[in-house]
Amino acid sequence: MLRSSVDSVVVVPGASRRSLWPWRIERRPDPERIGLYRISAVLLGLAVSLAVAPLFTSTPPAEFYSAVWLGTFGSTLGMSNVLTIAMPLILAGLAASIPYRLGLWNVGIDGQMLMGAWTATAVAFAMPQAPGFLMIPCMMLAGMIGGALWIIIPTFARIVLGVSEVITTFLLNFVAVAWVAYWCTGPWYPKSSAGGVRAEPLPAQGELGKLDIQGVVVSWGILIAIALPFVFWAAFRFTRWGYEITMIGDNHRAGRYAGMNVRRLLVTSMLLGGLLAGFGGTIYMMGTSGQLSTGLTNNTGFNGLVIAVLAGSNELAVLALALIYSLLLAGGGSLGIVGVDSDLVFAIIGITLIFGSFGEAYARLRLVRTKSSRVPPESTTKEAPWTINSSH
Amino acid sequence: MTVMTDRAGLALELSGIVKKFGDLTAVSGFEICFEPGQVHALLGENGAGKSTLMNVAAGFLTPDLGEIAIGGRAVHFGSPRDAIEAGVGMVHQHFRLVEQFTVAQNLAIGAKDVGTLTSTKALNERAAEIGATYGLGVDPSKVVGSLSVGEKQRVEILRTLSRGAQVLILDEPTAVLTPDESDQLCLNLRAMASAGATVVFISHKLNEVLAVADRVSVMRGGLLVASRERSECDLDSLARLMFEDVTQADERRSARSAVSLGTEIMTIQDLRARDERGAMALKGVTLEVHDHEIVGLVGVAGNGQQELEQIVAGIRQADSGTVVINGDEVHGVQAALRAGLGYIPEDRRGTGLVTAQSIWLNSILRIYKQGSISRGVLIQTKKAKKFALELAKKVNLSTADVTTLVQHLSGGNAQKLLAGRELEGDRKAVVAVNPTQGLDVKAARAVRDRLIQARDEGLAVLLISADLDEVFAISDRIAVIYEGQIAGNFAVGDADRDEIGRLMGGGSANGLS
Repeated sequence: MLRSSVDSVVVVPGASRRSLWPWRIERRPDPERIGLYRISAVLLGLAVSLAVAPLFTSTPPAEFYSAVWLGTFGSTLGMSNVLTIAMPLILAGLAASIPYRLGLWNVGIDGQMLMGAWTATAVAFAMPQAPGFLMIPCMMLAGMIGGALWIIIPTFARIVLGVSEVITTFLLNFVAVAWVAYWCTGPWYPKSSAGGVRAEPLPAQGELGKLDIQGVVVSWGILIAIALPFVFWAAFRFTRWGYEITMIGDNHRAGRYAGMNVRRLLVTSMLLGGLLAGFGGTIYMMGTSGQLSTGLTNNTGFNGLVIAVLAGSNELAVLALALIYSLLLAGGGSLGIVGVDSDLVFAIIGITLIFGSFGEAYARLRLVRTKSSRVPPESTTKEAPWTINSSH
Repeated sequence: MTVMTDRAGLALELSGIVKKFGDLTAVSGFEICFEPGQVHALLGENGAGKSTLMNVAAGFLTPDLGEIAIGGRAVHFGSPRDAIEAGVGMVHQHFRLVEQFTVAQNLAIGAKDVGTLTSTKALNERAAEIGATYGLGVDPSKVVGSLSVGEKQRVEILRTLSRGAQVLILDEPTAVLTPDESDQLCLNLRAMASAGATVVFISHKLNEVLAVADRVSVMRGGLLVASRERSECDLDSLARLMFEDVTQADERRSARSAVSLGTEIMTIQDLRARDERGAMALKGVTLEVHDHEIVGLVGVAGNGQQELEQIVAGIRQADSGTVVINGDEVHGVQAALRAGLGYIPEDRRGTGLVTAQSIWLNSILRIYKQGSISRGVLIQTKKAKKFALELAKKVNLSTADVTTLVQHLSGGNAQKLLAGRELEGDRKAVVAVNPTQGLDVKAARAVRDRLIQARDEGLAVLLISADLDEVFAISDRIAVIYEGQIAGNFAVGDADRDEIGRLMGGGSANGLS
């Protein structure tokens, strides 16, 4: 299983015997503070990358940092932006994290988000006169169903035929973009075009209301997005379903031995991933642009995948990492104002996440000095003309 | 030392080889010599150390101690490549061929006389030539994936020989073959030996060894117990050597409290099933286990034990036949659990426990759906932890902290946890498979005592084990399984070790049944 790949890094005993490198990597006997190592590694990476970044721009460091500050904590607009970006990102993180617990990769979150938003839009356009209290729940439900439907084919292809879900979920992203593009340029072509491939805006009552917390304005979808990680965190600890996923996630054979229906759990975890992605795409559309577009997700799905992998099997870590990630995206966005290429933010994010993944390795492994007194077995010290000293 | 250039073949001498895996000593140091021009069979039970020894000889494992000499010269192998260059090649049970390549391409891999750019035609000619040289016919242009198992094995042998192996080691070569293919292989091996090659034939099948070998060496528990010419061997003496209790195990038989047989708790009726490859693994197995009884099912691994245990536990489906536990015909894990069946699988860390999780999560693995642990969809974590704590105390676990991860428990403690979980509570029967494998003497005794205690409490115990000593020590009845059938069924008092050894090796029963 892919998730255990870290274990396999451990160097074969004896491989370093003849090497000049006097160190050896071995597994820590009690890797218990993994979470702590991981978070501190992320923060360290953030500090390092932020410290180094201004060196690669012509902008004075003071201006650089003030732009980052204003784009995040430094202004109400910045905070609004952070939370708006976080909303779909948290859901994308969960959409990747839940299948990942069972070793399944949902690489099609962007497509599922788009298809959820498309389905919700279709429902809204089918009931244009309906009041908001009816239209909003119907759209949310439709969004979940649309996202889940978009992962059905990869799920069954994987479970029944053994076709890699990585390929199928990934490629369906492009199909989803093409599908949405068709509707935006055809049946739902907007009456007044504002650039990009966008559909006719949603009916006004289909948009989510805004919360205003002392000037920080964000759609109330953020409340759901922040609550859901806690819901799943509890579900994995206190329900039978969560118990089954936890145990099977580490050992499929033990699951079968305990009489669990492993296939059904694989199916539900995948469908749940699609459902959460579809829901994320839908509330993001309803809470921000108010219209379907091909660029709606802006790679949120892939960012979510990265978050899920870094977070391990911890939904609260998904929430924390999604918030940090959003800070970076928002801060990076505001760099454009001071003339810095906003792509620099992806370098910052990259460095931060690389630190994060090394933090995990550091929690599990340690370097130990190999004993210099170690000698090959007695017999080989004799003269042996056939001896060939090669390591594996 | 002198180089023996006057000989056609090379002798392989192993002296004082010691190989340990952790606490387990797989091979513990003795002299053995494999002469050229002979088929030398290395016989022993699973775990006797034969494969380990030969993997050392072929460079797959590095010995902790000891010397290898080829044709009289001391050698040291850092890898299988070193070994093949010295003339020692090994054919494993699982072939190391590229399924997508043709026979000719497979034979070219790693060959020194093949350049980077060689035409398919040249490769095919080369392969045909190799086949002709060693008298093993295979079509060079065929893709390996499309060949039968016997043909693949021939390619593997050819590849080993074509790389210059003069000492050919085969690890249980007939285990994967049909009877006809086995006969053909034996003929080929005899021909190679006559041509001067040194052939080492690892096996646990007595008949086959007697048919093919010039010399037979028997290993037990990492030691060489005998090495004899074929003419000095017969089925009985080999069976005795293979299975005899050399350690005079410190086990004491504990007498059964009930005198007469009670009621049948576990009834296996005419069970038939296939293995993963579709071959018949069980050909009509019928077996009963009564209350207050331990039935030891012995057999060499791979004779249907795995299929049988999995069907009884509800993990695998049978083609036909029934399993009745405590009066209920059971299908599936949940039904077996409800009928009161505990199941201690062989692979405790790979199947029986989830080692990356805590003791308390593992202690409810098979009962988490029951009312005592869950209410509706919720797991009652407090009750589960309390259950785990009680279990840990009952089985004397080394730690009382039930949040400890199972991977931090020793093998003995992990098995205590697993056995406790499967035996505590309202159980009627239990299937235990090689329950003491890999445990030290003390931990093994604790597990055996627990099984005896379960028997005395009235459980029907089916002990499937490859360890004949263990089966003799604690069973009340002994059944032998061979090629998917029960080859014999004895009360322990009537059971004769030689007879059972013979039945395990595929010999026929002498009168008794």
